Amino acid sequence: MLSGHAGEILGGFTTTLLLTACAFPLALVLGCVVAICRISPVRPLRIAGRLYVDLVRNSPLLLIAVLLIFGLPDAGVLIPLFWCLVLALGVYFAAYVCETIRSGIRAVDRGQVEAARAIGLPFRRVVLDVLLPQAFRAMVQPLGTILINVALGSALGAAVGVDELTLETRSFNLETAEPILAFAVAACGYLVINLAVSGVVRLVERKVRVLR
Amino acid sequence: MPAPLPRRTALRAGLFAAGAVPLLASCSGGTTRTAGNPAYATLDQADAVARGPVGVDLPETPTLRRIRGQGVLRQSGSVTTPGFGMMNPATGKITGFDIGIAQLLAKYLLGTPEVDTITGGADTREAILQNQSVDVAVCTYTISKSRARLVSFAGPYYVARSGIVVGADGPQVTAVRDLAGKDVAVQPGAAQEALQKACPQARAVVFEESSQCAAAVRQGRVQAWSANTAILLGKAAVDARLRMTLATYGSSPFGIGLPKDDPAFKQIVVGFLQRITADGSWRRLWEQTVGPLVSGPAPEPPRPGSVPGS
Amino acid sequence: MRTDQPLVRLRGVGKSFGSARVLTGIDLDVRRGEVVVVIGPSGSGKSTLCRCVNRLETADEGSIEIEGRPLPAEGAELARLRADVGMVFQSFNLFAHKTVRDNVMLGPVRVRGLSRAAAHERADELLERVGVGAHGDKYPAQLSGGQQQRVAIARALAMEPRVLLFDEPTSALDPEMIHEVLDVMTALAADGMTMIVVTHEMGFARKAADRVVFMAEGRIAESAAPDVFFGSPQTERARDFLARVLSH
Repeated sequence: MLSGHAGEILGGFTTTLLLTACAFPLALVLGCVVAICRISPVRPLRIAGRLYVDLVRNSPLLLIAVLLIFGLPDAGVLIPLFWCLVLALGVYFAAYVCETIRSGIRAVDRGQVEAARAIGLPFRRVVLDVLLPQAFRAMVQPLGTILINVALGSALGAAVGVDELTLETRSFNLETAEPILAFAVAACGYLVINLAVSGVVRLVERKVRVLR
Repeated sequence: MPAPLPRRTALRAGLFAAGAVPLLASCSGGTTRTAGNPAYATLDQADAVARGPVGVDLPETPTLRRIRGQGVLRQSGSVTTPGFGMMNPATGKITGFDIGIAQLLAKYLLGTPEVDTITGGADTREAILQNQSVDVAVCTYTISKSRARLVSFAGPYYVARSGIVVGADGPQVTAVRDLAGKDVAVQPGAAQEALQKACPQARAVVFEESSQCAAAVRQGRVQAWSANTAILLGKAAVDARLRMTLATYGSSPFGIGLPKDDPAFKQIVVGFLQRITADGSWRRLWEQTVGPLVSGPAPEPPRPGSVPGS
Repeated sequence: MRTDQPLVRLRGVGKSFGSARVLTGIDLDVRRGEVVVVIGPSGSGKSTLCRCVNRLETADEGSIEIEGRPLPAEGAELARLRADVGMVFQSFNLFAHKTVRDNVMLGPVRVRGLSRAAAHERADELLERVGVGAHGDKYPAQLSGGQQQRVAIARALAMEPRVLLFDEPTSALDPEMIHEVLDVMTALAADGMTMIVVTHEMGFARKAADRVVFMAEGRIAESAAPDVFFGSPQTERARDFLARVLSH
């Protein structure tokens, strides 16, 4: 029964991977920008960064997705559904990336920053050369969790017309009335992603472990 | 299995909040017709239910005993399907043909139309019937042989045809085959199923809510929206930017989903359907729900047991 | 630029942390090539004074001038100034994620715009000079405290600073490592480096200082040549302090 639908389900799995692969880097970049705003010496930027995090973290992901999908066209911007969802996931998880970076930065010894400032590094270089690389060590694990959540969050595509794993599974179930089998297959798909991410996180953590 | 249900309900609540966005957007569109969905909002099946029959001398069955023990009929239903089961977010009341059937059934079994609607969606209907999280499923549930392996169906109680809506200046569509290669918005479940069967070359774009399907057509994200004719007529009637095509296709026999292991209870529900078609309750319910959305007189109710799987 | 102009000039500098007054009315001139050792009981404001000079702490009142120019506010100009004012910390603060050599190279490459090759060569020279030339490829955590502090000095020197600030550079070290750091500092002093050194090492103050500044309760209580200060301290406080630190 599965073999007849393997193509669709595999296609859905691929779409889930693609969604994740596009949305996570976006969340990283956006989250970095917001985090830098939040720790910058410029007050309006700090306020804007905080506003972003508060606003996004208090909105359901679905609301953001629907806003982008049905709100943007009314503003004259029609982006394909796939990219709407990528944008929604990116915007949403950027808030969590931002907070992860912030707590990673808090974990860096103050003296490291003072030393960097004392040799005359400008703010930008303090952040890029000293703060972020060290904060990254404390961030690997939570960032891995965010990556997994992006993959799981992409299941929202099923509600907004993106043919990802969950939607294909639902269609399969609709045709065959095999809910347990169908969702077990989907669960396996997400599990594979989860395990792969956990493996990579362990590898990266071993690599960046610092002697103190 | 009952554990995921509250989550699901929460998701639906989110969808309601989200669904308000396209509705608000349509208000700003400057159309002279009334925006929103007043036709759906004014539906009310209470009268038809109040005049429905109460079953007498029903045989004891495990399911009936359970329902009477609960004092309420727990059903898997929809709250996002206009004309069949649509919740008014302001009042919390669900209106439509399906919820009316469920209320009539509750009254038939219990004497009062006490219904508890669980919105499990199309994914979980079989599962929650099997594990007795619900007693019946009345939710545009198309009778099919593969589902009949898992659950019993009493019915059909309604035979739906799918229609096609396009944008006001959208493509010419005279038959379902014209949808080949086009992006077509559908809600999950019966509509998606019917489209995939009638035109596999169409690209189904699944949205949870009818308002989202409508917005997707208006915004040009999809070229067409296919659903039950009742839903489409209701929507197209109030939105100048949507155009109902003449094409209809398929026939989806909706049945009442029941637990597989209680054949005596199925006989009770079949008896109920025969009773309400005979005494005019079915027609009254149709006239108070689907009727106002579609034109023409009430159709003949289908004969229970007339399709494979029932 | 007149050579008799002080390199560092503080006038009326004061600072509070909340309601706690830590510095009051500090006047201090440091001439080019002068080594000023700041001593005093803990909590007397020595470290804060030192950190105010490169604006890691901001003075609430008074003025601080480096080569006649007042300290700029936070921003690019302050960063440029800090490059000219080296600092060595009590807890070394070597960049934990960079090798010893990269620690020394970072400033020259990012701030001075040196090529990596040139910075590499210069870093190795400096590491050799402070006696850790063999450890360039190691990470800070692989070095002893004394070695780390010498790397920190090399890192500061790599910027070719006009003045070097030392904030209790040996306080976090095991006793047997203190001398290797003090030796490097003494050699720097002999080479004519302008230095402000906050320390508890009286031996270093006696041997290397041109002037000893004694602080108590956020004020400069005495300021004199080391033999004068240690020979005949003028204030009761200084006598008490010396009696305590020299008794063991």
